[in-house]
Amino acid sequence: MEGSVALAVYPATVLDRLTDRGLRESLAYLDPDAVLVERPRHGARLAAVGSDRRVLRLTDLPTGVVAGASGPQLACLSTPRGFETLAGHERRGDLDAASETYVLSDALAVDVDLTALETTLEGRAAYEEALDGAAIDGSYTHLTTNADPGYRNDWDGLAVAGVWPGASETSASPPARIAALRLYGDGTVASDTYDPGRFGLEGLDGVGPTRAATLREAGYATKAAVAASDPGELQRCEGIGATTERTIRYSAKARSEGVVYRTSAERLPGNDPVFVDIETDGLSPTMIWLIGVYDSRTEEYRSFLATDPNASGRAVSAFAEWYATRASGRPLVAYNGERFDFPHLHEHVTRHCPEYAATWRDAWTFDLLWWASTEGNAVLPGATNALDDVAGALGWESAGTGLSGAVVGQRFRRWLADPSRATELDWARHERYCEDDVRALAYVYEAVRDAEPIAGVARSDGPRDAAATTTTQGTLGDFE
Amino acid sequence: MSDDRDRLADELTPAALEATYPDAEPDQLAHVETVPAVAADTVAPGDVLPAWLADALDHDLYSHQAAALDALRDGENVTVATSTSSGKTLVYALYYALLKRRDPDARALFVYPTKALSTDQERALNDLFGDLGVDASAETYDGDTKAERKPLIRANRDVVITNFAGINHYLSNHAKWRDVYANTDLVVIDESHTYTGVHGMHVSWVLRRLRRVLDHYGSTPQFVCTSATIGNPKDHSEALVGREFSVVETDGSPRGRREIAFWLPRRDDDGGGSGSDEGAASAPADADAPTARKRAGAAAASVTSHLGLSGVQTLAFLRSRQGVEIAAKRARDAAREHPTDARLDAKPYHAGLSKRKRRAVENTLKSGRTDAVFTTSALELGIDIGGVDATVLAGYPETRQSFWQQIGRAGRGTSKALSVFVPRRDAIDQYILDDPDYLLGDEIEDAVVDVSNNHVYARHVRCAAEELPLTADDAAWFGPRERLERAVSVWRDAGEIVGDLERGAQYDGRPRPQASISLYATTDVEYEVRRVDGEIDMEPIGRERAYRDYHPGALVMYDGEQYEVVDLAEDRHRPYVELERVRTNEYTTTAHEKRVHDIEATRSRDLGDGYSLHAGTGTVEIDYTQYRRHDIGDGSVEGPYPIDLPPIELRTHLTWVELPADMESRVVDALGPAALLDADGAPASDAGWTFAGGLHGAEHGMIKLAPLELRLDNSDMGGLSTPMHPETGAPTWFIHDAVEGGVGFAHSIYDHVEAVAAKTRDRVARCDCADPTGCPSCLMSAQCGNDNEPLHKGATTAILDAVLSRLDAPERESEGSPTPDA
Repeated sequence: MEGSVALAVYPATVLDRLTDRGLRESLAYLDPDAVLVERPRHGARLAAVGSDRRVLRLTDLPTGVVAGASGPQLACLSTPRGFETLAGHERRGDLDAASETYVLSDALAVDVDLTALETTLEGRAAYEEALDGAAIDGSYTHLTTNADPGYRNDWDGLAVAGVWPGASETSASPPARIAALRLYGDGTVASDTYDPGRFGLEGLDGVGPTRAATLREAGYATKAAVAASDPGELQRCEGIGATTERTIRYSAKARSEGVVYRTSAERLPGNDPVFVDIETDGLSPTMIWLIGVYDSRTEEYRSFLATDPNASGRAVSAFAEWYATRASGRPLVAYNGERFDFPHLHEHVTRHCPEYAATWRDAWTFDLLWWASTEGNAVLPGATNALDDVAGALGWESAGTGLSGAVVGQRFRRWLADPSRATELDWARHERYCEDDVRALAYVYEAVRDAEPIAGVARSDGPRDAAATTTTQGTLGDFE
Repeated sequence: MSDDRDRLADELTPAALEATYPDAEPDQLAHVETVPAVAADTVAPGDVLPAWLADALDHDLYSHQAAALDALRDGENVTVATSTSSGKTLVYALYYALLKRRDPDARALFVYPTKALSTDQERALNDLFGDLGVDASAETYDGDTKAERKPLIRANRDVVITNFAGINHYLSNHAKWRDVYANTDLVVIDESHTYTGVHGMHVSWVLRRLRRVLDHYGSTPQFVCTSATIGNPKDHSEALVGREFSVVETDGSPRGRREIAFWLPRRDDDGGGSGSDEGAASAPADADAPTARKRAGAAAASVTSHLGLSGVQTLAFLRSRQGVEIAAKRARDAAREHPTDARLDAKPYHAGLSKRKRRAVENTLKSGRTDAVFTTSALELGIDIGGVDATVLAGYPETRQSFWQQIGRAGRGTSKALSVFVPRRDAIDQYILDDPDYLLGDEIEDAVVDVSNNHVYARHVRCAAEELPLTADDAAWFGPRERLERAVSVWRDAGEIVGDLERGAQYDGRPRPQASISLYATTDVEYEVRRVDGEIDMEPIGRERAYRDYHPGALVMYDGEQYEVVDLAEDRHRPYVELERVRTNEYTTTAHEKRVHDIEATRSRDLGDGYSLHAGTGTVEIDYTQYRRHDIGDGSVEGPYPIDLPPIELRTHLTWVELPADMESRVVDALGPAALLDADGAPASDAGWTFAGGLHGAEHGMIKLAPLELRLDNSDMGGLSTPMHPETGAPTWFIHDAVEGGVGFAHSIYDHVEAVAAKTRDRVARCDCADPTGCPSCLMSAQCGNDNEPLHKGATTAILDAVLSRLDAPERESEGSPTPDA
């Protein structure tokens, strides 16, 4: 992984929502090499907040290389004819043919016709004609502004990825989002989207546009200013009572100090938790192929890996046996486990090793994110509640494997579909990636466990009993 | 007066109504239909139930209950299609009791179409289980259930009561439902006839998704559908659920003698036509025409008032909430003018009232403490209100089964009962007035469920991929395999599914694709309906309807109130239309240009002599170009005003009739020169204009009268007629579904063409209107894009007669080669 290019996309609806301070904060956080906006006035907005990032405007994309000197590079095309120009860059050595080149344009669009049950890539013929005519050598990934970030499809050798939040017509009502794409030398595109409300004062719990304006008028322009306020002080603002103030203040303190605040007297499970994370081939997995476990009692990390597509239960069975014989009765802790790890483990244990199904059914599972955020027992720092954001804000140094869950899943699916030398994963690197996540989880867990409860909340010691946990764990979301 | 009063209450007959009604006009009582009493056909419970359960019952079973229990005990899926209040709930409650006895872990899902019905049934079921000494409990789990109850219901309740919108969502979290799904032995679909059209198509896919998840947890439950009497209970249940069904439809429940008065509104002395019931143009005043009478709602209010004051407790059905409120007020006003000079206790009832108010009205009905209740169809389905002495129907409620359901609310047990039907002016009500036998006939509307719409199908496949990985085995639910492959591939190329059917295709898009499914629309583009000046409680509408009825400047009626559309905004993620409350004496008509092209027949009937009938698909292109405002009072017209919207294109289902090339001269010769329309500047000869009026009339009439045969919503249909279509090369009229991908309505007309055409012909020929161009009671349609021009009654009947005689001729069926998904 020699380097990467970071591209951020700010649709007009996002820029409309962000204050200058929020915009600066988001740019500092995402640290992009290039920023894509819609129109010249949006570019001007970036300049006005003092940004010196390379700005690309959708209405007049240039043709040529715009970011990356060696390793992966980002180029733009105003029209497909621009491939001639890129071919010239290649011949002169301005484009690193050994590393992936990303070409951004609005020339391709994904058109879904459900009545005909047919998806087509509009503009493909002209695009491929120009591409073939230019006779370029290197490996290219084609980024289109007419598909959502996360979109990726191989159109008979034409690798297409999307960049624009909300572009796909079939996506279910996405709100205004910032897209952050990291483009790697091996053709990997890692993309995230961010709610602009996470930046600026609106990023605080309990603060929407109205309260943000109220706070600014009262002289609290930054999170740090809110965090530094004395108890009771914010209550002088209209519409902020004692409870809201507490929420806002501690959220600001957590974000600006990089610490956790406990907002309830609820206890975490004691009893030497076992931290767990799973890697799958997708969101409704056919195979759980890697399970990382950190045992806080022995302080040992171990992973259960299954690389054989024909032995899809091997990792789960080995894990289930280990848990039943070595850790039975101890709490299993996962991050976002309620929605992902636990139901899928349950499903796969039942399918592949039913002899452990009863053990699993009685297992004490604990989702740290659910407990902190959904149930409101703790305020976490971080631009999002994603594990790497929270752990990073708490000072965790990531091992920097350059992988993400989506990318790992994508690679494993490629391996499943055609197990060969060409598609084989670097298993050790993936084990390191999983281990990094599990250790980050343990780190966050300890930070939460050791966090001070906020004023007015008594802290009670000692582990709580499993029965109580089971009840709260069953609390439900919107649509269950 | 007190004699009269007693007479009506004692006799409960149409004759007594006519004799006692103040200043009744001589022809107001137009017809009396008598339904004789029927005795109960019963079976001793011990004949079909084990002793422990039979002994707990303190009454006999009706024969249909016994037959259904027999079939269920044989392991069959059963549809019980009998009259309202015939004890259908008891069938599945008893069967569940048997299952529970056999396996104490056995659980069941009971699915009801409305939340109100769920609540009502929860109480009834728990009472029943208690009375029978069955150790089982039922609880409702839906959008109103408190979050803390949900895990307890999933963990503990034997019977989970819910609805399909809920199941669509809950399937995403099936792991939490594991214990329910793994033990589900019975699924009940109550009032299953309500699942038709677009909604039925969604429900049938939700059911396949549910069955797939149940199968995953090892459950293959039995299904019970309870249905009103429909024409095709077996086909409908099988299409809906995808399993084989046995049907029990011989009703063993008793019925008292019932008389139905067909009661016409008074003639309107103000000159007739103060707005038609359907908002369309009124025909010229004409003493015998249906439009010369007062509106049905007003007439229903006064007859209800008279009944209530005569000591006859009455339930009156109206078609809108606002109509209910107005009629209740009118009835109280009418009471003050009534010779008895008494106070009338009349209450409104509809879904817009608070739960508490509705409960209160239900209770006063049960205890007989009110004179009259005015209601929407909200009191038509299941909710237990005991019985009333009389019912009044302001207009025909669109289906025969609704008609009987509403009529059936009158009568307590086997006592006699009176019902009053007040026809509106529209074509269907007038048809029934002409031909009351229709109501009693054996042919009953078929319920249409069609699963060929790819738009809807693909969205449910996407949900299924989120619920469990899709493999080739899933062709069992979503097949044939080729269709499933294409759906997976469309989503893979769209970036929302990864993997394939060999290994397992998984959803990879935004969380909860289930949330993007609206069980009432075919596409996901929905327009929210807002008001600039207040709240409006209206379901979102699809693009086709938004363009047709909700373009800026359009006047629309909703729930009895008039609004003007002030904005249609679609350049955004959540498009909307915005309305403003207005009170005008006007209505608007919208003109459009329509083309039908790229037609492909999947089924055809060559009727010989140049006539043929086809069903298939085609592209319908509609361009809404302009609209006019019409003043109801003086008939003046303003406009046209332009409509600034792009054309709409639908790829959808079609049915069409092709006529011989010389049809125009055949029709014109038959009519004779005196009967021809004056083309009056239209780009056609008088003969051509008249013939076009016949084609246009046949197209309108068949769409208007199709609900007599089929349970369908004809506002989701449209048509086009042309003396020469470029693709058929012949005079042609098309009937098309007005939703993307089709919904099966147009195709069901193909399957029932004889009956629909014959009923249309009869209505047009028998309409009392004097104008050769027809009236809203026969040919005119409020949805016409051509200002109802040209139309011609004589030419319409001539064309329909010709087609009907060909349909009667020996068949030459030539099935086209069906396309894979048709």
